[in-house]
Amino acid sequence: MHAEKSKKLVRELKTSKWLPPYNVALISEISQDMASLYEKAVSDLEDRNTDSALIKSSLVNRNKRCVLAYLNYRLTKLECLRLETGPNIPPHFSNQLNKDEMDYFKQYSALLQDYSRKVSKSLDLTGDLQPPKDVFVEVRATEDVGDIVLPETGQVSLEKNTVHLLRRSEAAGLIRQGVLQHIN
Amino acid sequence: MGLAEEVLELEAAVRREKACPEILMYESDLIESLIGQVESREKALRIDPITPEEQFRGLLYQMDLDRVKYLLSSYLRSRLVKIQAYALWVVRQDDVNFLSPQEIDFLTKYYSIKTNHFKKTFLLGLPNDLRSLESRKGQRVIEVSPQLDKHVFIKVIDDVGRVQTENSADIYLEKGDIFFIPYNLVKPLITEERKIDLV
Repeated sequence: MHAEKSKKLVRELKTSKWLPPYNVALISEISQDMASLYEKAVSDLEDRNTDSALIKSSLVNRNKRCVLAYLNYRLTKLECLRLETGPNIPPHFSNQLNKDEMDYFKQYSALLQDYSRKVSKSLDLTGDLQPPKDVFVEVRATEDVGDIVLPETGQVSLEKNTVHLLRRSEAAGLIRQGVLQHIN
Repeated sequence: MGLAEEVLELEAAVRREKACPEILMYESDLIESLIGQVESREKALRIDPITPEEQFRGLLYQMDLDRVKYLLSSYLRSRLVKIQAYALWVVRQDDVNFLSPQEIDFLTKYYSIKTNHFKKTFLLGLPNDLRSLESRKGQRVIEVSPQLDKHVFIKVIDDVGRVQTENSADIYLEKGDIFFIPYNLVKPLITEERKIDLV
């Protein structure tokens, strides 16, 4: 009964494709329940009712575990997202997050970049998730971006549905942002 | 060791790291040497080619360099993934010599932003006594440690002989054999003696 709410919270994670919207209301309800349970446990102890106090304190701990597991799972998902799609959160993902989680994403992203730079300037840890096959890739623009200047290829005008041959290292970021589509 | 052998070594290291349930010793010499070579070769490639032959050769080199860079980053990345998963456990270990200095740095900062997030979103709303991440027995509430008895696929690269298993049945490991056994049973043979490889 007392852990029912935390069970619901953890279950929510399973019911959605990526992450459910951050359930701030349920978490604060659980925190309040925990606080009142804790108070009761303390007063039970004063009445020397140790059995009841023991049960209550393990309920409190169980609730805590559930909420922390909920938060931790969400953070892990965010870390995966950072590795897969780069330093920006796609809009349909950011709706599911609360402000603290957005902050966490930014901090984590900065941390990862920092680490990558410290190890070597010529490595990008999140650059290649698949083994590279060729120096050049053929890509198709999925939206109008206009003219951009790339370090090796020079100026390219990315208009919708145009096909370009670009260096893989240059195109990788744009592909993951969804601006370009890999076609060969 | 030439570059070609080092790349082979690195491939093996990536494979081991990905298959192993715990974080293995950081291959500092190998990684440092490879990073150094990749950097110097990239610099050499940046000089503008004059003839078409040089341009062509440059592209081939670039391709190979990209492959080595992919291996390097997937090695480092698979370690980071494990460090993150076990972060709460690793920070409590006395001896973290299996991590590189940069990884230790990463871990400390990672640990602090993570615990900060827990505090901000949840723990600070609780009564004082409940705010710590540690429960009474000194164990972290949501700590995850490497699962050392996980089954792994191994390939025997050098004759080992008899190995005792938990239910006291013995198995014989000979060169070329492939087994699926609990990791902790053969751990020293993998990490110290290098007689077994993970596949």
